[in-house]
Amino acid sequence: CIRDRVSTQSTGSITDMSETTYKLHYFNAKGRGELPRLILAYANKHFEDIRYGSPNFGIQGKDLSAVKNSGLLPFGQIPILEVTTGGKTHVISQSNAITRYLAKEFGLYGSSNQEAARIDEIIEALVDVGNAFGQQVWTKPREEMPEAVKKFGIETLPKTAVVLDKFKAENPDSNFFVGKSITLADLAVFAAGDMLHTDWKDYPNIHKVNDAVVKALEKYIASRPHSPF
Amino acid sequence: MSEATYKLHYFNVRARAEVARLLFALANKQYEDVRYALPRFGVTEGKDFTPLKESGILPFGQVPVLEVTKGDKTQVISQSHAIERFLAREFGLYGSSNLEAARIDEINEGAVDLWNSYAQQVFMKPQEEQPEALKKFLAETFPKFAAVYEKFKNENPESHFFVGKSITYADLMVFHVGQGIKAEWKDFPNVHKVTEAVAKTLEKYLSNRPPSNF
Repeated sequence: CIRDRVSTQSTGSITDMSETTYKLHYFNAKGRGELPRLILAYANKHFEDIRYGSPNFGIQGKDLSAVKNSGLLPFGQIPILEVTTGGKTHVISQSNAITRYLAKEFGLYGSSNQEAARIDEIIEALVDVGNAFGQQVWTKPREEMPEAVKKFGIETLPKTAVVLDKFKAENPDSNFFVGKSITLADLAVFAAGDMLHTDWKDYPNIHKVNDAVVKALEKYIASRPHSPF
Repeated sequence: MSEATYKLHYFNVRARAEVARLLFALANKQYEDVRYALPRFGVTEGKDFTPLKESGILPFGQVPVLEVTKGDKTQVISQSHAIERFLAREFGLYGSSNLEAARIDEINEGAVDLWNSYAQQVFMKPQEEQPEALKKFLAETFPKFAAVYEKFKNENPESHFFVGKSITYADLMVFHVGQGIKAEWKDFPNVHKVTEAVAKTLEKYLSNRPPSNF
């Protein structure tokens, strides 16, 4: 079913044409859909959270084949984000394009090109981590996955985590990677840890960021559907 | 107000630094193009990479990195796409709205996926298997992506470029990846129009750049 959450900041009615509305399509899982959800939740924006099932992964949800055949998905993949503004609907595909778009719309991309570059470095490093995780964990049979996740955390993750911890140390008087408030980088690091089942406690600087994000998104995290991945 | 100076560090090949170089060329901006030898791939010309690796300036121990110096401060930017995005923003090549930037990002993320597929299906194969693997890739995987880009370009009909009326980061990326995967776009006339326009605009740079196998 469609989860409709009303933003407390919403002043117009649902049919108010001047308000931008968002519809996110993804599996009933975290995966590549959770970071967009976190950004929308942090910005306190109303969005339609459409969740598809996947027999392969044992997930319940809407039938993906219907939307796949509809031609709505540019690359035949999810997530996509439908953005309706001024009576027109734009479809944005590619999870990294979606998250960057939302971060820019909601002022979560730093306050200069230099800050944006540091955010991008972190995002790109996490993309590499995500790809390595996919290769080392998702290709395994289901029963071997927990062991593979543990191995990944001990052997692969530290190489990147050490650098991210150093990045945070370069912004010492803050709970966040860049500037003084939450940006896309902080949300992305939380989302990555969320997927890897780590709160980054072996990396004290990252851990501080993670704690701050958990605190800021306490309500959303407590009320979101439970997904193992 | 001092202008920024730039120093790009990468191997003496195109690969992961070429889009940054294309951005500099398009914006007609000066930069130091520091190129390292890569003996493992038969690239013998270039500086020795070892001192750079041991210097500690590479956050992930990898290249490319871009050094941006303004006044007495130098920022080191790692990650090829972070470098590209920074330059695209600095030089106004990232579209004129968040929605245009999102379309540019879609195109670029898709191009990265296309390149990764190529790497997996062709580049990583033993040398003798590559010609056959490339044929298969160009016949089966490439057209699926190309059709998506053809459609994207169609959504911006009155232009030679993917987004807006002038060249952006997205056009450069598609041009570069096309060269990397040895694809011809002539079966996809809209995309072909873009890559031809890029080739024309950057004619001088393209004819003068050092030769590279990848």
